[in-house]
Amino acid sequence: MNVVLQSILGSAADVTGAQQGWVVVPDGDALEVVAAVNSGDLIGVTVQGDTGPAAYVLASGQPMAMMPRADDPAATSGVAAHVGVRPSAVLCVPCAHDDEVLGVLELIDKRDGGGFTFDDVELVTLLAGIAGAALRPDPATREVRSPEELSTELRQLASTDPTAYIGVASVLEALLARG
Amino acid sequence: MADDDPGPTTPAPDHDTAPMKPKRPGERPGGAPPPPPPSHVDEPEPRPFGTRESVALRLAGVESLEGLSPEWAWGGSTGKGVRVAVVDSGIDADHPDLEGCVDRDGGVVVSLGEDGEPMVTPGPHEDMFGHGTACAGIIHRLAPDARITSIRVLGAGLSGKSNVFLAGLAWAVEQGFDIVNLSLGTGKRDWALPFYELCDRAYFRGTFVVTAANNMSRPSFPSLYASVTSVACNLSRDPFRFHYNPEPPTEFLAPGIDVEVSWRGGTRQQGTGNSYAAPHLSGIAALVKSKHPELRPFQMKTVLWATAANVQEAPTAAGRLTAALAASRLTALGGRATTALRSVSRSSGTA
Repeated sequence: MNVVLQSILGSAADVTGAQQGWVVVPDGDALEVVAAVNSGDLIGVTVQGDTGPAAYVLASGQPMAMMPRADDPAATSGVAAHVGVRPSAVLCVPCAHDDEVLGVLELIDKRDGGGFTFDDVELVTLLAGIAGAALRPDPATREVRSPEELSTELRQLASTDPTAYIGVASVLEALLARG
Repeated sequence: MADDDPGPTTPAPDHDTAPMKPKRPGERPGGAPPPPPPSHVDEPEPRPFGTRESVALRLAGVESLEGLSPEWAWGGSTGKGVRVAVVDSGIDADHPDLEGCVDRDGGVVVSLGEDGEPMVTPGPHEDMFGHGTACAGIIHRLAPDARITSIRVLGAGLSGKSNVFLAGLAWAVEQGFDIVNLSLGTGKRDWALPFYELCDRAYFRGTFVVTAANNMSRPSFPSLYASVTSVACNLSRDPFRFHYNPEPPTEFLAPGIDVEVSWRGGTRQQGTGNSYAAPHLSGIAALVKSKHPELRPFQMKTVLWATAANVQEAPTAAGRLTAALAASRLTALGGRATTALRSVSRSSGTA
């Protein structure tokens, strides 16, 4: 458990009066919970990342507060659906570090029954900035591309600079030959 | 008159003692006819390069900047004839709030192809989340006759990719939309230059790009560029009430707090965020563009500045509003509006 992240999330929930909250990070097409408050043992849980406010905020990079209608299916998707709650108020803020959104801090349902205010958005945005720093990847692995990204880059290199491509391909072949 | 009446006489003017009267240009002392012009005046006076007699050079019916009023800018306009692109999660075209304003067949979905490159797929599509429908609903409320087109860049999985986002915006620019609403952005610096070039292209082609300001302490592209118009929240409940922010890159503030928005599936909900402020200004811009189709983006920005609530209501002449005065005026108008300005200042300070 990332105690720094957990502490930031707890502060965000306290200062806004949120009943529950979690931080999710992308895991392929899914979202993985890496911190949670008042929500049981959620850490490590993965949920589908195709709908829901956290998925939108992760993709758009824009913070958002919303009060979904009871009949809105999107409100009960994601982690809220996993927990089994239908939130009446949601606040989602991107956790960014450098130039990348690394996760989303999501709070639901204020204790006073109201919606999250613009002040809440501003406060949690500040805290999410610190959370973004806590989520930054290990420097030893941050530059490693996924196989799909590497494949795409190699194809582009082959079309734009065949000589360089041949050099890179030779190195890769040698590495593979050495196991 | 008696026959012996000498009648009025016209004494010769005494130029040393007679009071000076203002002269019109070209008027000669004593009313003498002007001398014949030098022969070179017969030739047409060369105009500065690029100028022409055109409505592009002057705003019809406006004598000065003070004459730029909301009534002049969008009074009586419905947005008819204006095409607005919403680059977002898609639009629920069947939503009753939208009243058929969406060009369903003209929309496109931009996604990553198998080769990793963005591909554009034309045709009807749904809203993956609801946010694009919310933006379209706000624009439609303000400009009911504007035609809205969805450019979906947040696809299945809502996985936003910067190159998909860029391709969607590029498609909108190529299609010559009048207004493009962007309630999203990317923080990736690798994409800063392509977005910069694309937004410049939009600006020069006459497409007015409205973006949501990022109120986080990190840059977001393309909201930082002068070629776009960046918008954050004010505290107003009046959808037509927007403010000029004297601390760029965020240049305007519009309603974005506790806004009743249309949502996918024919529903509605209440939302807060700069992403709801941007479509308010897009809607106003659509009204202005409909009434004054000749306006270029920089003129549109000038009209919006002149018609902003805090400029219209400024105690001094338009354009003499200082940042401190704007903050005090906004506080008087909205009670806590300085929060919005503070937020904007913070984000702009890091840009």
